[in-house]
Amino acid sequence: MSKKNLDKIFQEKFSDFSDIPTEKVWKSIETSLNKKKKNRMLIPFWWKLGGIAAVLAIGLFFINPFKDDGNETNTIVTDIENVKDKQLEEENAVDRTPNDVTPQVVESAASDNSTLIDLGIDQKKKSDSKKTFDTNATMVAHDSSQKSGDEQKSTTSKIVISSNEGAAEMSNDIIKDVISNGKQSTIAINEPLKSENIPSVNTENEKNTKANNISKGNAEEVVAQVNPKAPVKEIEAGKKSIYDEIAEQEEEIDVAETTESKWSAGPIIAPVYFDAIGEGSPVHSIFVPNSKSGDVNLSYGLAVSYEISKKLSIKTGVHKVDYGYNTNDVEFSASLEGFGGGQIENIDYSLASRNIVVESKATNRDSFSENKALDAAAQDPSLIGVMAQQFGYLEIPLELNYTLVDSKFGVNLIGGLSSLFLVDNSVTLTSGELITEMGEANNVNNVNFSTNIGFGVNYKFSTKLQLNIEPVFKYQLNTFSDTAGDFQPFTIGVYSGLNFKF
Amino acid sequence: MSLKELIDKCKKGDRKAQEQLYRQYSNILFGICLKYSRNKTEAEDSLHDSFMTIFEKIGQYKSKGSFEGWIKRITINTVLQKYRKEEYLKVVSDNLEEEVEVESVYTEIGLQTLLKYIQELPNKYRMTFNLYVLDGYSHKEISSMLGTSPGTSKSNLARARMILKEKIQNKTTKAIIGILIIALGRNM
Repeated sequence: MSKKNLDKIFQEKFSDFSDIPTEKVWKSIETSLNKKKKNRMLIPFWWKLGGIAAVLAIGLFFINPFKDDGNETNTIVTDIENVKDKQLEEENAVDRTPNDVTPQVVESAASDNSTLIDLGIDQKKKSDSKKTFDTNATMVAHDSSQKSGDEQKSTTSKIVISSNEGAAEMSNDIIKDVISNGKQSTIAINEPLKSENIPSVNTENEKNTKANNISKGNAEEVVAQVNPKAPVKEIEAGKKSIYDEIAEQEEEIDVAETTESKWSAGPIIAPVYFDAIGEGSPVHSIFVPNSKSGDVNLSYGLAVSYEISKKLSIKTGVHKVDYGYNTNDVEFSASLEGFGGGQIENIDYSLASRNIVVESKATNRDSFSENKALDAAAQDPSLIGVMAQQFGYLEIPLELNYTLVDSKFGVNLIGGLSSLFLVDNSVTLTSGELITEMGEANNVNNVNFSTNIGFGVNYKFSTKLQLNIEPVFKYQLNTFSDTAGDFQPFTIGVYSGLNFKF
Repeated sequence: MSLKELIDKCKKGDRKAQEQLYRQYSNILFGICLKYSRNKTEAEDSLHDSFMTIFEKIGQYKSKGSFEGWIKRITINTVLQKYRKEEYLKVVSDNLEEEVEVESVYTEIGLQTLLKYIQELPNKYRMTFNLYVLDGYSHKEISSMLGTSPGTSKSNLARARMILKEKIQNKTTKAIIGILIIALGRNM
């Protein structure tokens, strides 16, 4: 009887073997596809939210500070006005008597050019705010001072004085406000000065053109700075002047400004530890029993915060952050054939690594040892090592800080959300000194979110500068689209940085 | 619609194209799933998973090789992974019996019976037998696919053949006895 090979029987029977699956298979595929589509729809929605948050943060950063400045200067002006109103009588009293003195002082100063310049220099040294003189105002003062006519002269002197008042950052409008509100007092001061300003400017200019060294603007500044010097002499004469009051007011304004500045920014750096809750594996179910260990990586970036109230502030910024973790006891070998039967679905293999087969030593251990015992001839060409997965993200946090203690040392609670945008993704195999780039994980979401909670300790070096140290726990919501078992990644970072208020 | 157009539409996630692709290839892929699975229900599960992977990764198909070959490989991988999760596929090496021969009368056994025999094989033997005998993979390829050594793969194949041979022989013996009983009954 002729014998036939068993293989051939099966090969013949099963060549082009096919069968019709039940209709429910397509229905379940359709349902799964719909589910996936819904998940994908969620991502653009989050993208939009992240984008809106970023635009808002940037928008607020660039636009609002100017508005705040405007408000602050307005309050400054009203403060000055108030002070002026209070002092109206006093000033008038002061001005009436020393009127005869000031022209003399200015005259003598104008005649001696060197002392004039010295005075100017002294004045510069005395007040930093005067360095930021509004040159427009001085130029106006200069131009109009060259013109004849009483009215023009009066406005000139007003502007000169108001610019000397030290409100260097004030706009012309504000100056006008000051003038109109404090008319009587300023005029009282200006009138005696008027007559002296013009000749002094003229003599200045003559000297300057001769010297060809000092610009008109500079000369003007010097003159402008000399003017307050005249009343300063008045103080020496015994009574309190408006300039003294203004100087005090400036200090108050400085303090007011620092306490009222709501924006702060600064660099931030943190060692970040990445690990996961649960025994699962994002790579493959065969790695579930393997031990996994987190990596410590560095996060760095820029943080911007805005003070909503004394207790509450909102913080955002941009951080570059790398996360990494290792799957230990991994066994890997290279098969001669490029076909990826043993390949892991969740990894897009790089060209050079397509023939690498990775498996878990932890899962194999039992059967492996049994086999070894029974099969002495079996050779195992595989290497044992560690599979390291690395992700790089751009992180945009949006956190609320609640201040618990606000003194030189501050303590605050932090809570919020972060949007993480994937920028790096790699899987490497390490065995001893051998490091092989395996490819990249394809189950890592491009956009990922974390919920953040932590606390911050800060030390204020000054009202403008403080040091922050913030240990923050970040629980990742959707790092992986597909994990085997329970794998919930989290990070712990100690974020430290300097914070400048502006 | 040409295959290329169909694939392009599937790449864009067109549901109708996906259904058409399923209708076109589900029978042949279900055949693979049946061979590699233990029963019909598991085969349908694997078919579902395979198509999900195909639709997910269709963007990676570069039209260089045969599309049918590509989806078949995905299906085989899907089933292999399913059973890899259950148990590790390594098996003890043994003295090898290279070729198992059976008499020609056994070829009369039906396809469904042979399929049942394959499905009844332990996972590791079933995978090896299918890969080597029915789908033409080498022992080297199989060892890399199943994470075993080529020696283990050969051993698994030999055991699979032995089991199948026994089943076929038992079946034939039972059939002969059955025929004899019927013949005797008629004569009496």
